Amino acid sequence: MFRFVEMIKLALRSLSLHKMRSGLTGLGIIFGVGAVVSMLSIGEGARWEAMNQLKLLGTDTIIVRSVKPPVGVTPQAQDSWVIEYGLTFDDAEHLKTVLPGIEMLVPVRDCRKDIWYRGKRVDGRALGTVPLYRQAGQAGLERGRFITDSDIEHFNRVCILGDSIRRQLFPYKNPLGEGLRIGSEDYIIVGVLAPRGATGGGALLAGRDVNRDVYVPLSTALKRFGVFSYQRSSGSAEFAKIEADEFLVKLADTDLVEPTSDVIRKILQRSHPEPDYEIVVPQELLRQSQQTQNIFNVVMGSIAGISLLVGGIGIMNIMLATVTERTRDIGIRRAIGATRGDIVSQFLIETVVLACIGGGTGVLLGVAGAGVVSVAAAWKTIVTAWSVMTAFGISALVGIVFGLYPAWKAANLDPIEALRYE
Amino acid sequence: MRVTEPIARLRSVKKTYARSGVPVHALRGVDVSVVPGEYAAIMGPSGSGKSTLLHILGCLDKPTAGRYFLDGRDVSRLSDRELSSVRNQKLGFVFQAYNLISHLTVRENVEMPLFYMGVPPRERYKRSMELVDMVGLGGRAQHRPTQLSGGEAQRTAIARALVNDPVLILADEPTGNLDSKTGEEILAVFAELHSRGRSIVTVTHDPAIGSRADRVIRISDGMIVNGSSAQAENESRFERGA
Repeated sequence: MFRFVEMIKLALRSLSLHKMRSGLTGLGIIFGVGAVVSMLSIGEGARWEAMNQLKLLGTDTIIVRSVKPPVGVTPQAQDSWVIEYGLTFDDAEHLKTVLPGIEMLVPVRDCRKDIWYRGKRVDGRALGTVPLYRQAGQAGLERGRFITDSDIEHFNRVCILGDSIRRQLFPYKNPLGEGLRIGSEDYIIVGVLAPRGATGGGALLAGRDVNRDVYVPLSTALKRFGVFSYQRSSGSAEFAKIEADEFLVKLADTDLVEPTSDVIRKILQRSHPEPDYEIVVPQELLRQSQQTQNIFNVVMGSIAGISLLVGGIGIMNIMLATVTERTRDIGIRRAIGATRGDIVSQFLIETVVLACIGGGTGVLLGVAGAGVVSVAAAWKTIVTAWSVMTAFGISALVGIVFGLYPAWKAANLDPIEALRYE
Repeated sequence: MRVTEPIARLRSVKKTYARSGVPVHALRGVDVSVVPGEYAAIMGPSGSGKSTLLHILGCLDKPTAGRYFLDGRDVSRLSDRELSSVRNQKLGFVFQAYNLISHLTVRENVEMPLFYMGVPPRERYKRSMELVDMVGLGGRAQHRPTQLSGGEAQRTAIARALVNDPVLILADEPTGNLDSKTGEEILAVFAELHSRGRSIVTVTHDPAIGSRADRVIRISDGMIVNGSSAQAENESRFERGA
């Protein structure tokens, strides 16, 4: 055992004789391992985000969303200047009665009204919904209350703020009791939601940043703003009649997601001949994003692998030069009793030590790289112990694989020839 | 005078190389014996096979034919690994060019054979320091070979050759790189070792060494051409003993 420790020390000494050369030789491994670590951290971060999104909506959730059908498909569009499409409250009732697996079906209506606070427009969406939304959308209350049945019944003009909006408008102030203008009406803030999901992450599944939502009672929204909306886009204007923008469907069990989404599609097909809705299954989206992620991982993994290969070849190259350079040393060691095995160990340990130092530096670089990526690209990155160990293990392996040939060459030098070498 | 078993004994040793396809007969049947405590000098013109002879004595090379008994053991057919072990435990080498490892200190160079023997660090340290002191380099133990004079470097090499307490010390032109005064000093060290009962075989051109040796083994064209009368007498005695 002491021999092994001593051989490592010896290897460190030989490497430190040529610090510059050793450093340059290690570069390939450093970048390779750095790439592996940061790549794995990006992958892990993406996975974590996806999982978080799934948690945000739940694996037992289906979202049915209104979409504007392609122009010309809607018959009404031909003879009316108001286009009518999307989900209706009748659909909601129908689905609820037909499908027993549905635990909750929460309609959400986008008021399509601007939000103002003290004369300034606020970026966000005013959504009308029902008390159950809090459970179905897994929205935690930060303070105050959510929409109540009484709000619905009395068409109360109250609203609940998402976390990002609260931060923007009331960074130091208690928002409860303050007024917010939606469209041309004033609403009193009665509650604030806790932050949900990852920023931008919610966008994939919920279609927006849910933390910028402002919730009002659905009944109030319908009464005050009606179901018609006027939208101006790219020079043309249109009136649209949409009842509900989204149904958040919560099922009793995760296993019901697939069959239920099929049934919902069939039912809606009957009452909606034109495709003016879409069914979003978070599970499915997650699977898709996972697949994309896997492709990304394979591509990045190959790049990292190639750079490790190149790094390994670089190490082998230098070690071969080192063997030539130390031919005489090898001869001396052989003459005084080193076996071939001793020479193999000496060079192999030196290569592995070099590769591992490169690997260690690479891990640091990778962690730093992950940090840079998460700041610069705003991607979530997670460096796991597992990825660090993998990267380190790979670099040790590279050391062994690419150290074997030089070590073998060193060990098979003829001692007499080696002693004569100038 | 009692008949002593030789420490090293070559029996009709032949060595043939193939140098670019052409066979070169470096040794053509050599019989040499070295008795314990003997100081022998192998002398001969270059190309005579004296280096080959030394390599075979030093277990760095194997004879093509014939036998080599070292310390009572036939080492002529051993594997590379076994030969390494024999070199490590039974032999000590002193080279013309000192052959020290330049990035190790004097003491570390001296202890190296013990490392390959598997001696624990503390013991190695003790033994190597003893020898460094013995060759008069106590104050230079932590120096690098490049900081030493030629004489000091060769003393270091001698200390390294002695650290494993070998049965036979082999020297290849040990004074070849030294000026005559330093060379004398080194020869004095060898004489001292000889007087303490070490067996030494040295290859040399230098008649000064030959004159100090008990016996000169003259080699020419791969054959022993003559020995001193003492050698002849020894040889014949071994023949009778064997």
